[in-house]
Amino acid sequence: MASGPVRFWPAVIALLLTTLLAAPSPAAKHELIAKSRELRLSEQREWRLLLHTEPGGELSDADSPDFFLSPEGKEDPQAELEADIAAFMEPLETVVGEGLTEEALDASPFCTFPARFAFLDARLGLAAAGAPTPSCPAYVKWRATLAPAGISMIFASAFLNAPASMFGHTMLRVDRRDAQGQALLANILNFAAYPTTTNPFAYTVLGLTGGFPGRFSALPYYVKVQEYSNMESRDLWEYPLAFTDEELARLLSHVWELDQTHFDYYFISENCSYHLLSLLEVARPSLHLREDFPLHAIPTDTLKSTLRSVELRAPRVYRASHTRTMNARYKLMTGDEVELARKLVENPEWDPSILQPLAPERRALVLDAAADYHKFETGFTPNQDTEAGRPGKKRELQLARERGKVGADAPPFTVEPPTAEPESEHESMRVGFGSGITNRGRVFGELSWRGSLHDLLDRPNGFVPYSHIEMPNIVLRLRPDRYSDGGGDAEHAIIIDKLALVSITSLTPHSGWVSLPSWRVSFGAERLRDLGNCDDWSCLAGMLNGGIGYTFGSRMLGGEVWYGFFDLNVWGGPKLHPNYRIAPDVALGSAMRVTSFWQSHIEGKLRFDALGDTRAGRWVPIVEVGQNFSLSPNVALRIRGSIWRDSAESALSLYVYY
Amino acid sequence: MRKLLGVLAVSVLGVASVAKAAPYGTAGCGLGSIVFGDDAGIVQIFAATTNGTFATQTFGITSGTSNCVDVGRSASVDQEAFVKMNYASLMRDAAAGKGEYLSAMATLLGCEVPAHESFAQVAQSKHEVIFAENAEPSMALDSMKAEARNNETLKNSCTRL
Repeated sequence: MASGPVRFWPAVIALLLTTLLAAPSPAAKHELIAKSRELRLSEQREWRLLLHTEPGGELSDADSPDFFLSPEGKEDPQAELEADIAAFMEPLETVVGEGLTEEALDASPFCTFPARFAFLDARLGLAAAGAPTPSCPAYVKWRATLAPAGISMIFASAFLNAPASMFGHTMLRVDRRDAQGQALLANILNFAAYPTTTNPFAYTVLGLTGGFPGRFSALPYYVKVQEYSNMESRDLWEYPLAFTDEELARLLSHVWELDQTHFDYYFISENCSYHLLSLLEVARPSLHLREDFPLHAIPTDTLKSTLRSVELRAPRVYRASHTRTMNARYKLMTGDEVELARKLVENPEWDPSILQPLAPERRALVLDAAADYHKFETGFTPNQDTEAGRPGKKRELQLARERGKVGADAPPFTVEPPTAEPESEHESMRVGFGSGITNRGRVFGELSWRGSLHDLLDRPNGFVPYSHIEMPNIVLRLRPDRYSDGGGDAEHAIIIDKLALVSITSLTPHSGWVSLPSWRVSFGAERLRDLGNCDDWSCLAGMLNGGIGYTFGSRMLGGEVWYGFFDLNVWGGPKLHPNYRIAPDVALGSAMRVTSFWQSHIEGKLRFDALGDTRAGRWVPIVEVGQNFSLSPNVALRIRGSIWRDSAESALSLYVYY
Repeated sequence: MRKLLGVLAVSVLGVASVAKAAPYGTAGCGLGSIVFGDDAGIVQIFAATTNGTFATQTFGITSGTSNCVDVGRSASVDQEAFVKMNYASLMRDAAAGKGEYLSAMATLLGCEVPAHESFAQVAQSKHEVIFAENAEPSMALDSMKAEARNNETLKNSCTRL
């Protein structure tokens, strides 16, 4: 790519010669191909990255035939390289036709695959050997309009209320040169699946097996800010990455090539975050990011991995969601001011004179908060003029204009993130080793593994506060003594204590004007704990439960929440007579951050066994307590105790996050 | 992983809310279709994108790029898309006489940075004209540009009025 003074003149002379001699000779093509074999170019990492072959493999992840000029291109990087050389060396007229219109030039191999051309040209001197290098009007215009000044990685925090968003989301942003400091106008590069069905079952199957096409797309950042910050109340974190201009240019020239293809979207492995990493590797081939994620790519993990390998060129930026900003303003107001703001929004009559007693800067604050609240209540659907929407629009206008009249600034404030930055999260998988004892004196061992992600007792840094999401979590109970019994008990020496395929709890504390229900749901199997310390395989029962509740927060210790739930539980298993039990319950509990390293959780439940097996008694009291001590970000010690009617046990576990 | 889990949750919890694929941006410029599509279009874009990465918007690399390549498209498409998508934020910033959205708007109008403050003053003082009651975003944009052209500083400093 770099042409020093020594190489420059021969190149120019060669270019002039080839131009004079018109079309490059077929011999040149064969020589270049021979040279590429000699140099083993197709084995170079840069080439493999441009073709999106799997780390260490030859098979490309790209799934569109248009991405390859050789029919064997997907499986054979050398075949593709040779086909590309041949195409690049072909006279323009034979490739795009006689007309040489703008569209025709844009469709030429040179304009379609600029990154591949640059790679080959730097090593083989394609242009010097006579490869046509037409102007590429569309590509040039695209690059100019992006006005690239840098790349940022954007992380959208998790959103528990939408299944697709529970693990957060990552995007890349092309920061603009001509709009420094105006992130809104920059463009986002996003990789997303394009589902072709709405049937949930087909969706699951196709999603897991790569049945949906995934594509890169570009959209202005302001669209994403509307979507995440406003509509979904998700905080955005912006990480300006330090890439050189050359790396940035290479990344963009390659992104252009990706318009030609799709990638079969695998929900676990080849997902949005995974493919963004491949772009960063193209930019800087010495990065090895995807190799950290052979099986699955959780967005925060890919963020952490990126930040470990790439420096930041500017400090991280936190962009608080609309709701969080509103809550911050709410907290700055006195009770009377809150009431005034509420009246400005909710009273049918518009009467701004109620603000007269306030000093100008307090008036500004109340009006800002009222405008936030009004938008929160009326929603963020972009402007549409409907009869029903007009009163809301009018009030929005009145609030804004009144604010303009104040002529003073509201007291300055900063919106603090609810928790530490996402890259400080503990790792997403967890393994646990523990031991415990039951109230009948039986000692047991415990082994557990969780695929993802976080529970109420884990170190909270970075996660959505008071969220619990486990998919899956398996806990095995070990009874080594059963081997030594010599009897027929050996098969029960290891049993499943609990298997949560999906378990989610979302506690949303009442906060200012935000009053949302809390909810929880889990699905899997568990040992029936209330049948007299039952602990063999037959005690395992399928389990499905869900509940709805309400949560309040307080700040007596390091921050804690208090919640009440109404749940419905269903079990089915051989130990139950008949084979099922349906039981509602009422639960009260509290989750506390006692100190930065100590989390506590307690819950008491009263269950009513309504249908099916009711032998445990109609009313079953249950108490569960847990204390978690983080020894380091990725190591924790946990003590648990539980009482289920007449069974009780306690256990101590060591958890390692990896 | 999140995909798997998301999908599991979708099917298991029965909260399937998978957005339907909507055919926009398939021809021409994605941003243009935000502006020129029917009223339902803009809602559907959000319906699609709010599902996070289940997004079904069919923007490609070129078609969705702000200021994207589209033969014969003028600068005003970008301006209009921006106003339409951010109307409320822009209206609020304009009333306050400052803010990120107002500044971005000035950039889209081609105003040099030193003129952004004049633009903010015009947007604030002419708020009732620009953001009239029940104004369509395109009308607001037209009045905004007209007011800017009436201002000596902005007329000379903004290239895309």
